Amino acid sequence: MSRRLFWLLPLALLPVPLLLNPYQQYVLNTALLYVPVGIGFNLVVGNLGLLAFSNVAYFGLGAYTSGVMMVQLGMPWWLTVIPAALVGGIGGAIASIPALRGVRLFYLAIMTLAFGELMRWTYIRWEALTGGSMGMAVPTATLFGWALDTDRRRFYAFLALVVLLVAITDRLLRSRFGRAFLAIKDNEIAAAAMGIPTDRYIVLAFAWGGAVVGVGGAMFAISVGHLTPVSFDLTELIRQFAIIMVGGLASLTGAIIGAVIVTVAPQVFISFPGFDELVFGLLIVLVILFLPRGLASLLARVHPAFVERYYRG
Amino acid sequence: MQIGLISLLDGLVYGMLLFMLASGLTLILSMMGVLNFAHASVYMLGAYFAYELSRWVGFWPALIIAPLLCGAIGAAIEVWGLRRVHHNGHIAELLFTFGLVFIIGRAVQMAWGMLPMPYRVPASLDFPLFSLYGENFPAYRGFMLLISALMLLTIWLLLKKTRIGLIIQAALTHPSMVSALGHDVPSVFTIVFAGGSLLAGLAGVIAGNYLTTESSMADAMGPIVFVVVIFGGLGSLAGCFIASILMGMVQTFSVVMEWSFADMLRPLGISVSADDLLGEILTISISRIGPLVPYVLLIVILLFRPRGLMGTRET
Repeated sequence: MSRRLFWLLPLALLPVPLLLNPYQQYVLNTALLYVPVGIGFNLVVGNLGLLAFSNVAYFGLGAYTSGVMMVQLGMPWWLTVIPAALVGGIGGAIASIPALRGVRLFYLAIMTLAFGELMRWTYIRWEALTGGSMGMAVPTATLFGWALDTDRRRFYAFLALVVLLVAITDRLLRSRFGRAFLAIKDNEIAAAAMGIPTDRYIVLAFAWGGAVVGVGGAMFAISVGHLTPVSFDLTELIRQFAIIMVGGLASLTGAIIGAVIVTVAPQVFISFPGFDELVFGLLIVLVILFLPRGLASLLARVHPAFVERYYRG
Repeated sequence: MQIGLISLLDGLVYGMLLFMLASGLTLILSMMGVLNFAHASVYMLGAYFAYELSRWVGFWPALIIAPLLCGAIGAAIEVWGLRRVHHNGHIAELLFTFGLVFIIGRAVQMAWGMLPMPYRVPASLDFPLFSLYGENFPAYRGFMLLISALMLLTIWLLLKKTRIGLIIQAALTHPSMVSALGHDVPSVFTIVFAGGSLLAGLAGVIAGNYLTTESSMADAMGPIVFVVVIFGGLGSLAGCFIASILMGMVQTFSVVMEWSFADMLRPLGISVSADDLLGEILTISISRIGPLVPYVLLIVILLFRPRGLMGTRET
């Protein structure tokens, strides 16, 4: 996405809450918090090309870090965002260990999936901190003493965070880091032969991806107000996969489009419980069959400003 | 001893069931490079089809028809789905099957609801086969062992003694060479995919009334089957067999163990109580971690022997 376009979008979103009812506002907030989740996931799966299925683990780590710090230490929400990012990033770095040992494709997918399941198991069992499978209530968030007690107020805080994360990730992808990720995706051996320290870049991509997703988790914690381990199961992984597949792998624009579509599309079928997962499944299958580069590729066809030529390989 | 023998037989039954699912998955994965996430969903479909059919035509015809239906579904997935996605690479194929998992899962829930189905063991097999130390061994489990042994024999004969088996074996390791020799590799793929789905369906038919037929049975079985396939190693049915039996035993025996990590640490002079920060996690007994044990084994084997137990290649 071109620079000017990127800054126009959040500006255009500023007056939107005035038009929405509280429920629509909640849906929009959810779409917004899934943008960093999609971006972090896309960084590893799309840009780096490694099949890591542990995204939900970082998401949960971020959410629980934020929630536990607010409940146990009585910290205000804004102070827990950076720890959530740190813990998510550490989770990412841990998840990259099998990748560094040369584990690839399905092997990596299964091992990282196991990491996510292990984390979920930990939330269930570590009742003292997480409240077990009953979950924990998250207190009202504050931002510099200003209570984020309505969805409209949270919207502006979320928007600011998302803009920041997208901008930094965009810079990262346009820099030598992004080019290194692309080289590793295309041919890891050739990349190493050219002097790119592949291991270092793999850890970096996982850690930065984990950190961005962790912030998304911190946003999720205050948006839903109640954390349960069920929120971090396989269904959640599918939702996050749908985001990056529908939007388009290795595309920042794609992660944004995907987050919006995957959040809004099930709302159409809100009166049919269980239909949402069917929608994710259908979206994934149809997009893979008919639009393998995602909806972002459709947008790129409409206008060259949407072509992400620096990092989309 | 009493628990030991019955558990051993139960572990064997469960292991053979795992093998029935994992053998098809291994063949698909080794030949086509597709880790078919939807494999366990086909297994679930098998159980539901068998339940529905057994209401109308009885268990024995269902035992034949339901797997055939599953095989047809497998062939359809291969021909109209995977083949088109193939040129977009492994990630797209993997996610395609991932999407199918959700479509099948939700479709089943919509058609049959969330509650377990009253799919029962047929009356003709509902009697104790023999007793060991006062505990009965149901005839149906013996029947499951028989069916899976027959299946094992059939696969072995098919792969080792027939022409198509030879071609499949060759395509397992050198698909492009087999294609260059004039064999129609895409239809071999379809046959293997359909055959694998048929076996998964058969597993569903005989496991649906042994375990429970419910909409979460695919999620319960799927991860363990992947662990078996990767543990056994790519391109090796023998490895897959050993891994299946091993996982069956591990799953069955871990349920009856009552140790915890804290108990294991005690001889080392470290004592942990449930009140400590990590204590709550460390004092949980093995029987409650049971479901995690296969993952632990998987991580161990991937760290020390990335190609799996008897795998012939890395990817």
